[in-house]
Amino acid sequence: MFTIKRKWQSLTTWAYAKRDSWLLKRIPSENVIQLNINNTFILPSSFGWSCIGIIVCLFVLGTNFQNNIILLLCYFLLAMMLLAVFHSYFFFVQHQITFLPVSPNFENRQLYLPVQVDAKQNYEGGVLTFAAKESISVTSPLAVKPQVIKVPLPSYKRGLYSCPLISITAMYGFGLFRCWTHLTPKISFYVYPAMQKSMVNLHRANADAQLAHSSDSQFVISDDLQGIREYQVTDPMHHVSWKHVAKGQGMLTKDFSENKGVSGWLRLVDLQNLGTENALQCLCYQIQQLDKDQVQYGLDLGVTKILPQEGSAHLHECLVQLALFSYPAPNSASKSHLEPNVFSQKTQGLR
Amino acid sequence: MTQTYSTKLNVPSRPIYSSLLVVFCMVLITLSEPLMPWVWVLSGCAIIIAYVRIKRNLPSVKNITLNLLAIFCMLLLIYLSSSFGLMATMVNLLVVAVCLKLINLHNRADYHLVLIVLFFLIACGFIYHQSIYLVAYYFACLVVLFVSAFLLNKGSLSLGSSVKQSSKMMLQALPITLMLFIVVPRLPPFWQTNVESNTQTGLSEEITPGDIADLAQSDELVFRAEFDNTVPLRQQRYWRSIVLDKFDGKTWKVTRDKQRLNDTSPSNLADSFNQNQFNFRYLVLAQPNSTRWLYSLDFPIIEENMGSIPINVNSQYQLFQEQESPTSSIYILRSYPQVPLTNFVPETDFARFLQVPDEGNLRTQSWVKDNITSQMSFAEKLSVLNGYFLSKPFTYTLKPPLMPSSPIDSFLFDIQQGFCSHYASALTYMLRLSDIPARMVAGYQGGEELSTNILTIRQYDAHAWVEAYDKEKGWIRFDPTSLVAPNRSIAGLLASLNAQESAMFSDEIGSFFSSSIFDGLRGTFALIDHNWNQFVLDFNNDAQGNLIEKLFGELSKKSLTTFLLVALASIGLFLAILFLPYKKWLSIERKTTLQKVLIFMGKKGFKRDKHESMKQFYARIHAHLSVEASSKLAEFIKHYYDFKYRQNSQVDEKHLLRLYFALRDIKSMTAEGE
Repeated sequence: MFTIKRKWQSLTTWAYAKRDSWLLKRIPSENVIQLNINNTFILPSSFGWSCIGIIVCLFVLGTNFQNNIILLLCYFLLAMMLLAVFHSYFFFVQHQITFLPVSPNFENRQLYLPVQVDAKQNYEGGVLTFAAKESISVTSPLAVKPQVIKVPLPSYKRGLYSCPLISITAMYGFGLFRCWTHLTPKISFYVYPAMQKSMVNLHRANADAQLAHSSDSQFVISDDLQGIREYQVTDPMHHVSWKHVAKGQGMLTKDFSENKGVSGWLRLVDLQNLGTENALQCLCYQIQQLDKDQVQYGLDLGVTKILPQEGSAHLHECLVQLALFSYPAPNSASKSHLEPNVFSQKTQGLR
Repeated sequence: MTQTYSTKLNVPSRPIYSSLLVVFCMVLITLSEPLMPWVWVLSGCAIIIAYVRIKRNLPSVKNITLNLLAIFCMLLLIYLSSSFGLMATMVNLLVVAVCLKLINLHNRADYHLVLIVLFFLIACGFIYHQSIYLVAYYFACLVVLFVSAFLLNKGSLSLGSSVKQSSKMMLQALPITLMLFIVVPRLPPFWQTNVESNTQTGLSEEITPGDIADLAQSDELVFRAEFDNTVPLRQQRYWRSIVLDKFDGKTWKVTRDKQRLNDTSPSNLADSFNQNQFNFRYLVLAQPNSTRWLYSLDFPIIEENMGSIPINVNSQYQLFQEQESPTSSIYILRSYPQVPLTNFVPETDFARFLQVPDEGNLRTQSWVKDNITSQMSFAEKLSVLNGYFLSKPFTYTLKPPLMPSSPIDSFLFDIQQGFCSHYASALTYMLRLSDIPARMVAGYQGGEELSTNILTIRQYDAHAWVEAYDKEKGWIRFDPTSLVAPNRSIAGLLASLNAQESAMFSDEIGSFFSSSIFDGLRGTFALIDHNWNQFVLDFNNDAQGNLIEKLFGELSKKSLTTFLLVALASIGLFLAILFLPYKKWLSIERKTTLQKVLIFMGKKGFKRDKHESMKQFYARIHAHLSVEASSKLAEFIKHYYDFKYRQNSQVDEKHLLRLYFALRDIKSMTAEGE
């Protein structure tokens, strides 16, 4: 029994893989897609199939009773079905779908794929349903303006992924027909390790090694206020002196003495006893904390080392390294393909 | 497929819920005939629960409760199904299904299920009702159902526009429906069904005086006759249907004699007289009835039968079909009122038309023995018998007292009140006792003039009269009722009743009968009804054939195929007109302002590449533009981006259009020197 179940499962996965490869061949991966005859599927919905059943029944009933009115009803339903095919198809193909880049996120947080929908407005109203593979679907009533819909993606382990198949479905008209398409966005995204709360263990680079290894090797955030200066865009929000803001003196930043010029290394080796995954999660938390406090930090992952630095680009670089640490053979989406893609994405969207 | 369509309903379901409920109530009212009483109770409860659930949020009924209820209902239906027909059971089943589902509507599939079942219930309604008004009523229900189906997927569209849009789609379906209705060949029934529709009323092959009174209460249509030119006078309109020859003292019956039934000798007789003499030519459109007998004036010759079941005339000048017809019959007749009905076979017919039971009605027997002698001539005997009716205070009434034993005795000598079947029955009996072959004829008398040449005959025109055989003149019609109530055959049934009775009667068959304005309206409605019957209900293979003949001149395989192809092509053409993007081809499609700008720029020699964004386009060309044009174009692009991509932006389509006009009005587009 169990083996049959497993066999069946493997068979379905195989079938899905086959289908997906066929779909990819038929509907090439693209980020701006005008729905048209080449990428649209249309079949009666369950309601449509029951309607066909009713039509057959009515034909038999009407013929048997020689009842013209029943036949008239039968033909009316038939005509409605006939028109519904066209109406649902033309409703569906009036849409242009644009996939926008996915903002990376941590393992245990929900990832979203922003999808922009433009409609030619040949038909007003209607509903499109978006669903990523193995994830819940969102149904969006369509408004007049182009709108962006956030489609939830399935949860992933850390790493670099390419966007899964997105299904878009419509049952416009009387719900008699289901129009759908499966699209593969040309989008990759990083999933960072989840954050795990832990003590920050910064090995000072500018102090002597002894200090770093001292009993209280823990890095302490000092409260020594050095002074107050003009706010700069790069300053963290929690350093803003809200007292001054409230008094109407504008945005001022509190300057802390201790953090200034602090820089150090975070080492994976220190946390190795927690297991690699946990260690990465702890590091993930720590670099977030350090970034918040504007400390220069470097990341030592054994083979990969990132020199101490600060700023959001540095943070991103570190998080990527954590996400890809000892990552099994890189996913089909390579980094080189990712960046220009995001760029072209933006420009095309503005057309 | 891992992805499934969301079944949760994101649209407000209240309007859909209420419209389904309304349609259910509307359909339920018309199905009073086949519904079992307990189903009525169940539907009532379901409607109340559903109504309360619409009004306020009620906790949903547990599924297990509903399932148990469903099983219980099923068992009850199966148990009761033997006493109700299959059809009625099915209707009940559908109603029960809607009731149970209506209580708990959760997701789209539930709504779809109710919609489907309601479609089917409406179709079942058509088995019981086919009048144009009820069809219109059901069509209204259908429209509401489709609108609710539309509302399920309407998105952010307002209720009003949804109704408009769905109605538009339904209107588009009408021509296709009509085309299919005309074109699709009518097939013969796949298997025999017993029709349960309104064929229970009507004349039957047995008359116990008193039966016809039931018919008098009904204004149901029996048939319509459309005359070529002259319409016979009211006194001449005796529509023969059933001839009753066997009497058992109470009831008159039809002799079941296959040979006689199929005896079509009068058609041979047709050759014996000059067919050019005065006749009425008319078309009869008869509603289905429970017998095989149809209706004709004397002496009938069938000119054309437009139905599928053959019609014959038998030796008693009756029209009959070879089998009961579930649908209407249409035929064209010629009737020769002056031709005598002479068909009489002495060897068998004397015994047949002189048959009387030995027992019962002894007073009548002795009265005839006393007053009639065998020496009297035919005319003398008749005048004696008629004299009896005239000399005694006989009255015409639709509500005579019951006459359970020896009905003819008590009618003739005690009560002396009755209506046509009492009089006809008594006279036929007395004639037979007097040695005159006689029979009772049941049919219809009179009819209402719909227009100058169309007569409508309804059930309350049912009548019975007597035919006696005279050696020289053949069968002669006597209407004893007219002796007592002469108005009956001249002015119709209403005139012959007394005031109180006629008031009661008209209450039952429509109170606006007498008023002249309503008379006119009634005529119009009846005319609509007539056309409805002729062109819709009775549109069959022959009508289809006639149409093809009219269009192509002849009915052959070739013309049939052409007809089908032309019809299909016209449906295709209709769809093409609706859906092909001819607007785009003729470029009358409304352009967006951006498109207008791009076309304008294109004309000036600045064509945008296919893969260029507006910004890239601008970056490429702005050096070649004049300062003014460049700034205007930049402003347009900036506002366009605002309009398109910023939520809550102040820019609207009009503003963009103004910018476009400003751009267009610039005198020199290109930078100087170029």
